[in-house]
Amino acid sequence: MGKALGVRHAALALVIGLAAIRPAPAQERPDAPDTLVQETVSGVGVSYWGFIPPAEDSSLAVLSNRRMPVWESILVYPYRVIAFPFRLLADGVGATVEFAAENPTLRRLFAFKPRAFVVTPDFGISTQSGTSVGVLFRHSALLAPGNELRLRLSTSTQGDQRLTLGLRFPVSAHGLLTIGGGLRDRANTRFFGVGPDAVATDESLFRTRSAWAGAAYRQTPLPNVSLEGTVLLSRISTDEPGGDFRPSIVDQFAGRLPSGFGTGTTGISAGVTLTHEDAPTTGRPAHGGIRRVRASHFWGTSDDETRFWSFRAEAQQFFRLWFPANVLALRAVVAWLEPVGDRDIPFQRLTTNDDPDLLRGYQDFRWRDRGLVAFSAEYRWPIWAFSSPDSHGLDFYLLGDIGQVFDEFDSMTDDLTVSYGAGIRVLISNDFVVRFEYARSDERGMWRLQAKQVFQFTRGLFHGRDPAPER
Amino acid sequence: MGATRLPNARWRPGALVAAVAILAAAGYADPPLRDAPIIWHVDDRRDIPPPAPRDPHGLRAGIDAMFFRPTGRMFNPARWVRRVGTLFGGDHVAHASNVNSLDEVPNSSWFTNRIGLFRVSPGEAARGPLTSLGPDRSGQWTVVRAKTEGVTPGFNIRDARGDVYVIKFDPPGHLGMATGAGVISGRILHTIGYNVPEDRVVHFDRDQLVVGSDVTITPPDGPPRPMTEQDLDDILSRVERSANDRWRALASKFLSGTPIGPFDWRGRRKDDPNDRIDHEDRRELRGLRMFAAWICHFDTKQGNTLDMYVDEGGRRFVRHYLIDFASTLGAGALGPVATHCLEYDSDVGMTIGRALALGLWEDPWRRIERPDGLAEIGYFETDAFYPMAFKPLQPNSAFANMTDRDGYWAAKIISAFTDEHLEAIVATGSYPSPEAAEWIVRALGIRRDAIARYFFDRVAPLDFFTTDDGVLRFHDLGVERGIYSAATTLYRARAAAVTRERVRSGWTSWLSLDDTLVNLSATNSLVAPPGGDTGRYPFLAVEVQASRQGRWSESVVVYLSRSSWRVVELSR
Repeated sequence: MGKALGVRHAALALVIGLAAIRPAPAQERPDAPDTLVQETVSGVGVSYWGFIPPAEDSSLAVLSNRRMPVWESILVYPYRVIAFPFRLLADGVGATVEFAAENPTLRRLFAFKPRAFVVTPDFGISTQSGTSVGVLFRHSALLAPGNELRLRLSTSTQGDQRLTLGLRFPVSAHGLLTIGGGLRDRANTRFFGVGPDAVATDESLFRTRSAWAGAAYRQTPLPNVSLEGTVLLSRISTDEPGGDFRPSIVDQFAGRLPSGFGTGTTGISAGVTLTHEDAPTTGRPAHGGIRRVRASHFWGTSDDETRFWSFRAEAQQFFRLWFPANVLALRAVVAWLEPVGDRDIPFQRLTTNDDPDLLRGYQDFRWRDRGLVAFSAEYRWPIWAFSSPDSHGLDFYLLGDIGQVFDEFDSMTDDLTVSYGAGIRVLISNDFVVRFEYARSDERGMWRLQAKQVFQFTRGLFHGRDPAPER
Repeated sequence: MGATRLPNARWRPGALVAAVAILAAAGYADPPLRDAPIIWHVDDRRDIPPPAPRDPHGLRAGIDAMFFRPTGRMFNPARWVRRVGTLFGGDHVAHASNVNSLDEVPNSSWFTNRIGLFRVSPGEAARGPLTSLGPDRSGQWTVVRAKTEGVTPGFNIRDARGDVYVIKFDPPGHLGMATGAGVISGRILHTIGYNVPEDRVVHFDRDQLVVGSDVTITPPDGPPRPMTEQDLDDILSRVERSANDRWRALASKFLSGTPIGPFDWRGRRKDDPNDRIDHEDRRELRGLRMFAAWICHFDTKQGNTLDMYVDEGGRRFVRHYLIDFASTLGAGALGPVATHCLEYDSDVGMTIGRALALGLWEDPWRRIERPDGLAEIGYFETDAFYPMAFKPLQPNSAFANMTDRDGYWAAKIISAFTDEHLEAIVATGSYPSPEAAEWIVRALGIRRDAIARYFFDRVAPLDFFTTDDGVLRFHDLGVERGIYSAATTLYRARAAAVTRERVRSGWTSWLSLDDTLVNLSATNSLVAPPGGDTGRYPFLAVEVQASRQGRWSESVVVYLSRSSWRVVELSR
């Protein structure tokens, strides 16, 4: 025994002696260290506690879990019984996740691999359209690389049906041609009256049927600057609301129905838009901004021969605040319709707050008139990111909107309304954002769940956005 | 006779909780003292039949670790009571199950005591687990498997000796970051005592590689097909080369034995009879939280562990390994990420907190800066490093059970690493620039001291009590390892005779100590068992405290046999 220990000590001394040889500095050799290797410390020998004998020369122990004290057993065993269903639930969720992740069919369906042709389900909830379901077909290389197609069909529980088609082709290094069109039948569009004096108690409903087709050509002559020309043929007809939607505009506004109700308005509009954009397209812009001015002319082709000019100026600016990802986003919008001749503009083509970023404490279509002014501010800060601070994730934001519709420029600030609230943005990708927000005004509070980019105005024909009323 | 007055009904639940909490704080009825050799080896290497391989689904295991297990811990009433018990000096969970009477972890198939208990030379620490000279360069390395997915591709090679290595590369733009970190952290964890694979940095030319026959590759957009030399060229083309136009990689040698999948951080492997302690109650797994904090090892999911069914000395049993340390020292598989080590992947608490803070509170990770000009260095906090702020990517059942005693055990081992150890270990990472190596050594030193100070402030670092010629000697690790000044440290001790059942005769008065030793003969003579019945009091308890700048520490109580003068137990 003693001899054996002596040999072990000698071996240990040899090991320690060999171990004292320092490897050469890392920069001097490609692969370090390539020295012959000795057994390293193996838990036996002279320790700070004294000599620790090898396992074969010492007492071994079979260690087991500590026994639970009685008081703990009294608490833990009932808890395990109560928690058992939740444990089963957790196991069920886990098994489902595993199945979904490993199932080849589901993997193909939800695969995030970049593919040219993608079919995705379309889902939405809103107070006006109800629950909508649909399908979206997208192709990013139709016939040739760079050609894009977007076809969307959707229907909703509240009678909102939509079919839109968009095609986008690069025609030169700086030119982009867009062709689009669509049909929409909305059974319960809201109407409260025209002008800032319209009262909430006058809420009524009517049906809108829209059809449009057009083309847009965008040229980017300078970095960050684009010029777009648009030609659009559109028809909007109105009628009594569909189904059981009440009160009808006919009943609520008997004897004072708005101009254009009950008839269709058809026409061609041609316009030009100049845009300067220097905000990063990351979904979380923290600097730069977007400025846009637009002018277009509408020629009515139906019997009424309506004509009017449409002007719109808009500016967004993003400011980085005290922390890098805390951002103040500001937006100002002024829109104005100027009739040519003495014909009134049909009410269904008046400017309204159906843009969900305008006057968010009010219902969509709450206000209608020839002009609209709005100023919005959002203070945003990130609360979670998928993989790194710069990646997509969740933002929280506080919002404030001020603005109103108006009939005369002189009175555009006379009846301003105020909205305020908060929300969460879920950034799925650079151009897909889901927002869940609550906004409050002096009239009511509004919850909104939107799968749309913030302060979104760049989406037009290609994305199937209903281009009328004029925006 | 009036009825017994019960406490006011409103107070009864509170009184009950307080009573149970005090009971919880009092802990367990400790077993009787025995004058027996200390347990330094666990008998967990008995011959067993091969356990069934485990292959937990990564996403499912992640969801379980991230949400369900923390929820279970949150609602566990025993943990609530123990939390209240911490107000009375208890721990939030029961003590670790696999410690010996000296509060140390015995050697086992999980852990081998190294630098914590032994003097380890810097060279030995740098050598770590290596048992071979690395991939044999006498012949070509045959690629036997390819990994094409992900930003950092890799492959497996078989060298002329027949050894198989996993070859991994650095993320683009960060040459040396992950490969260096992987090797360095492997050496550190081995020196601590864990079982780890043999990792090393290698450099090679294209001529060194040849694609083996029957190797298939699965391209991102197609079905599996035979791998070609062009595929290998494509993989290598995505990898940054070092200055001498060679490829730099981490070569991780396949472990010996049969892989049977990862171990779970909770529970036991039911078909391994040697696995008798719930993993969340193993001290080396609880304490790993601090080792992981030290080296910023955030990717501690169970997929980065591996059980091997080995045949050693004619016995077949399971040896438990930690693997894959490339995501350490601020490195990440896709490059450095500031939130790593400070937030979970989906940190619900932090998310809610940030929402409520209205963006007025700055996340600590936003203040971490990478050193200028050192692409090898990621986000590795130094001066503001706070050990308890460490979070891995997923909550970890074992980490959640770490007590101050577990943390102290880890801190004791971490503080045993000298700057010389760190320099020798970091040299094995072969960082392209010497400045990067110096930076990492400095950072590891700062983080080491922060961990040591945190736990030495909570648990008196008076340790390694031994007897020699009637003198009880101990080490003040706080002073020896440079955390506290010797000039401002005082010691005192008192003693009592103790029965096997730990009934004390009564303490002597405190004796001031001039040094880290207690004269047992003198102390023992002061202890007078009641009635002079020395037979009933076969043990001597010596309680020792240290004072740093005027405040006495928590006590360390050492039990000695009065017949053999052997240290039989230590209590903190």
